[in-house]
Amino acid sequence: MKSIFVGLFLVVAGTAHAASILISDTRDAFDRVNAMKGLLHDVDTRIQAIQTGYELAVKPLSAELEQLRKPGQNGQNQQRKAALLLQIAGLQKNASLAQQAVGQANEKALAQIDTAIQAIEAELKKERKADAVLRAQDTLYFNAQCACNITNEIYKRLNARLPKLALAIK
Amino acid sequence: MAALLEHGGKRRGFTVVKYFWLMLLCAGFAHADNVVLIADSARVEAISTVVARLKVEAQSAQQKKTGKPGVLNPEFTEALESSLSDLRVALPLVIETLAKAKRADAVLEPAVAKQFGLSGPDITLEVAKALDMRLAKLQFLAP
Repeated sequence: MKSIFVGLFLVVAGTAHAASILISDTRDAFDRVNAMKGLLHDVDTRIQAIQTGYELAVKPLSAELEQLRKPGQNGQNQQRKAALLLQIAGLQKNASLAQQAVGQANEKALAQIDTAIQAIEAELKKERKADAVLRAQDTLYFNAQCACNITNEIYKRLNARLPKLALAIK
Repeated sequence: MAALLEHGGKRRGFTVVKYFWLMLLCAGFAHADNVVLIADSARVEAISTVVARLKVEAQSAQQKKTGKPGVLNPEFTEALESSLSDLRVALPLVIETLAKAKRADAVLEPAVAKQFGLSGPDITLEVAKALDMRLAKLQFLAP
């Protein structure tokens, strides 16, 4: 009888003292998620292209404007100056809108990656019968060497499922 | 002989029960194998003697310079914050050291632990004590 009580106490103590947790640290995702690396490159390339296109289009207009602003030019050119300024402003606006669209597409793609990460976390929680999945930023400290650290497994599954992600620009 | 057999049976019976519970205990531990600690970083600052001392030092420095006691003016508040920055840098290191010593898997703020339905020993006082020891020589840097 005594041993039964002792045993019961030990089992209750063993199960009640702590919970089973999993921790994911995806703060270095930009370096380790292939889809993210590709995305970053894609965003850089597109932003660069928009910038270059804008500069190429504006250059001759700015040069002409500069000529018109030189002393000795008569007032008849005012209309042309105004037209040039309007054209430059239009180009600027278009470039800005294009960059905005790239930014929005990037955010959408990143959200897609985050959703995929959440799905993998939920899967691992179920597989390992854990009580909770914490993210590194939820903790004041976590032991990176702990078997509860599922970061590598997340990256492995994510890279297999989502090897590439394209920017969907409207 | 009969007595001896009876004694042996009792002994064997006891051993079987013991191993049964031992097995269950192992199963219990294997299922719940993470050590989670709780530390309230805001409370650490509130109970830290170093923080209290720096606040007093700041007030007396202000009184010395401006003649105004009591609430710190923005200039001295900024200087106090700057002096406390060492503390904020040291806090995660102290938590990490304590967590490693206690072989913890994670240290959480109470609100986070509550959010995830987790519990564990509270090390707030220990953190404050360790922090005070580490920063015993920290001085208020007057503006």
